Amino acid sequence: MRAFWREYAENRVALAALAVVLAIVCAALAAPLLAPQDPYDLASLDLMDARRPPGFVGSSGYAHLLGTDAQGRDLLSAILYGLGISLQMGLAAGTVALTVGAVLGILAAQAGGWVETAIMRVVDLQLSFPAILLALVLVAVLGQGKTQLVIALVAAQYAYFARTAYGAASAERRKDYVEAAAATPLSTAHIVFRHVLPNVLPPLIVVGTVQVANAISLEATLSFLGLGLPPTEPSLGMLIANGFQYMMSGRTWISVYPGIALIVLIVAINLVGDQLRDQTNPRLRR
Amino acid sequence: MLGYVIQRLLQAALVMLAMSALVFAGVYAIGNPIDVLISPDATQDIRAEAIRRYGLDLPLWQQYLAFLGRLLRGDFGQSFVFGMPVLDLILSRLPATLELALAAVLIGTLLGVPLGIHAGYRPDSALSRAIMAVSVLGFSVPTFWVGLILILTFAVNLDWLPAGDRGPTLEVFGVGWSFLTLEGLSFLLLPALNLSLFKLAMMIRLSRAGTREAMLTDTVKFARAAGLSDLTILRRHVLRLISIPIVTVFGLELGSTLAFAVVTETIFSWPGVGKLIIDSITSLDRPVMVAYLVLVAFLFVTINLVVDLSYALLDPRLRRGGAAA
Amino acid sequence: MTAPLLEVEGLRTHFLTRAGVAKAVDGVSFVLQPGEILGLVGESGSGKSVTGFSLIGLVDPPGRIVGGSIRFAGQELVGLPAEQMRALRGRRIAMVFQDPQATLNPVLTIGTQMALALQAHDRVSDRAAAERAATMLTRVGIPDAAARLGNYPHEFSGGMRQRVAIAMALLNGPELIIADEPTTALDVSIQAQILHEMKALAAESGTALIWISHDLATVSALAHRVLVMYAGRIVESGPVGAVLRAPLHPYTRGLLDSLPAMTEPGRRLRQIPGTAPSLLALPPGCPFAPRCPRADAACTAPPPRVDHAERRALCHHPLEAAA
Repeated sequence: MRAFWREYAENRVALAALAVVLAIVCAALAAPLLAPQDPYDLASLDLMDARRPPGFVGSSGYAHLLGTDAQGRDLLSAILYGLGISLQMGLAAGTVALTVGAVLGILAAQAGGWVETAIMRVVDLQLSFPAILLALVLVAVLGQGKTQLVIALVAAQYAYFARTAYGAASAERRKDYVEAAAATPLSTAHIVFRHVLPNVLPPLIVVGTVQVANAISLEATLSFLGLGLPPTEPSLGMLIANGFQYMMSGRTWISVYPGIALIVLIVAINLVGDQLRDQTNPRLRR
Repeated sequence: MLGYVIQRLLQAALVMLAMSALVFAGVYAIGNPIDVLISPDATQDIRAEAIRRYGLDLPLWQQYLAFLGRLLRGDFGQSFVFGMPVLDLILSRLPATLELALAAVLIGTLLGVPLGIHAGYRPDSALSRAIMAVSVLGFSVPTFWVGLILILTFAVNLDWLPAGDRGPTLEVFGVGWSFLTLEGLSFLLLPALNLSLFKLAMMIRLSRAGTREAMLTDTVKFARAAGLSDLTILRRHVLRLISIPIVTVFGLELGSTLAFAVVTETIFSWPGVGKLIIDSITSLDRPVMVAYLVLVAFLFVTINLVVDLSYALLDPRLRRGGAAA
Repeated sequence: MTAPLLEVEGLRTHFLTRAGVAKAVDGVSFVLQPGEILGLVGESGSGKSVTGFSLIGLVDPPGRIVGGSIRFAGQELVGLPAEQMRALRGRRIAMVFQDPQATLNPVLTIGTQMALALQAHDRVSDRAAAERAATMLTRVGIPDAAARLGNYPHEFSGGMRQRVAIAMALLNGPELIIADEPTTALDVSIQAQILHEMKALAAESGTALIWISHDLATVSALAHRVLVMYAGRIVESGPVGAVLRAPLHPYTRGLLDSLPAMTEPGRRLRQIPGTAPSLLALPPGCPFAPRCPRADAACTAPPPRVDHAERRALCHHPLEAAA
């Protein structure tokens, strides 16, 4: 574990990316303390403050460091809360998709036969189908809301986890010690939890890191298209979408600042994920 | 070769059947099918009449067969919003999307493959590092955000290119195309660039990995021993060696590009199928949604088929039996 | 005597790895006459292949020629600009590799690959290239050569594939061919055929040949002279007949004893005990000492050169030469 960390720390970029991710998580958790305004409290919004540039001192008496949006929200506050929602959605979708995918993948690898064929066929079919379309259709069918959104994201992403888990689990199953364990009167559950799961988990976590970033990106895209969360709790994607129409008239900050926050978060998570993948990839080890 | 083609065709038909069953289950299990077939404003009489006409009082398996029959005849019903047959509606929007997707994949491939080969050939050079940074960004930054930045930079700030819409088209074979006029191209360029960024990143990664692997093979060493220059080796040997995964991805990506066009078309108000599906989702135009799903599935199956078959053409080892891995 | 074709003097090729410097070739010297066939023998890891690649300027990083000189027809090759070295490769020095399955490009026809090899050196039209390729294929014993130019490598058998590779090496009429275990991957019967044909082709065209092999038997059937390599050095050299009859170096003796043909039927083959030393941590003095039956305290010092007529060896305790 310590050696793993030392190797990770050797890559300065990845180290900086990890710091950024942690900083954003902390900032999002502390949003109610840090943000000058609760952007979801509609009563505190004043349309007189709408679309003001960064530095404008609004009716509440403090400077809007990043300006305000079309509803007169303080953008800095909206971004901090929006980051929280993005992280929340990404982590929820990532965790559920990881669980569902791991169960299906291990089940396919352990059960074999037609169960294996059926599960993996569906998974492969879905992998060739673009995730965004699937999410789009599901959101359209299920309606808007956090739960619906997570379901859509999970449906779009579980297949990656299932593939990974299946690959790792079936490689594990072929190894001698698992075969030996299977020959002894140990329960399947014992084999799965003691032998298979510990070996399947690391690659799943690596995939999970990148998939959290993908989920955040997907959520932002859906929200940008107006199919994500309800407008009362704007996520970053919706903030950007709302600012889009004002961009032509030069009020670029409404879209640009939330966008930068989103990009920094996604790129940082991806860089962390890339480093984890490189470090756990035996083919790159020499 | 013929046996291989027949085998793949059968597989494709089977997948299509499965997909139609899924869409059927989606529509008939989740939603009330009558909502998909007639407008919600219809009177009770029309509803009852429709239920009889579409056989919704029949057992599920009979309904499925009827559904399948309608699909095969290309009968997807009428759009509530546009009041015209869904198939005609989609087909009228398809050329715009196809043109955009093709332009994007072409840009991504024509730029990405040479850049990726360079990055694989000289992995430690400064240029290669820059290329890899572009590919990381292309993978992680959401498409809609890149589109926004493109509009902000080239349309708003620099005022070089139009910010959206399709602009003028030239009729050829009864279909309007943008790429035939200079002005049309100016409308096509930004959305195509936007849509191509992900493909660019993917092509860079793919050709870089392929090149790195190929450069270490005895094939390349033998070519060097024969006195071929590195440029010739890259152009003639390596390019052919890595062409198989590239063509695969080219084909597969053409499909997913059509899907991702949803985002780009919305940002750039490009009047294609992607914008149509977003509009029909927001206006609950369900027949359009169903038709779109079935057609996209059909498209994916077709593309997979074509890619599999062109494998056989590119890899002479596969041509004989088709049994090789 | 005519001027030698190749003079190698103190060649050192090292691999600078993370774990340290691997001295794959460490002070190799030899001379090759035009048209001569030289056998280069040793276990895997002895540096024989790296020597071959050094001659043609194709040592892969992190390997590098760090010292010595390679004079080819009077021209110094160490430090030669890359473009001049490239122009030399394939035209004046050609190389044949071990595994024809891996060396020929599976997705190009052999006609294309041969044309590329020709066009790398001369402006040759595609048609003229095809003609020359077909002629060469016929010479190496491929029937119906013109028609087979459009075939892909997988459409040839292993032996035929290697013939194609040999034809490619001969294509530009080189003065020297370096053959790196070209028959190892083939069936024994085909090995003998190729060996025989190679010898005839070299004699016919006056091409000198460096035949790299781990197998003393093949080399004895082919070469005029033999070099025995161990741990990056040439431990014994001399005319094939004399070396095989009565080797000076205990290592050569060991190689001979492990050949089935040299052992009486029914007797067990004698293996050389131990394994080749790690090139990263060579013992001081004679590198073969830890495995040598004749080793004693003196062997911890660098071995002296022993000259015996046309033969040389690096050894403290050379075997008696019977000749």
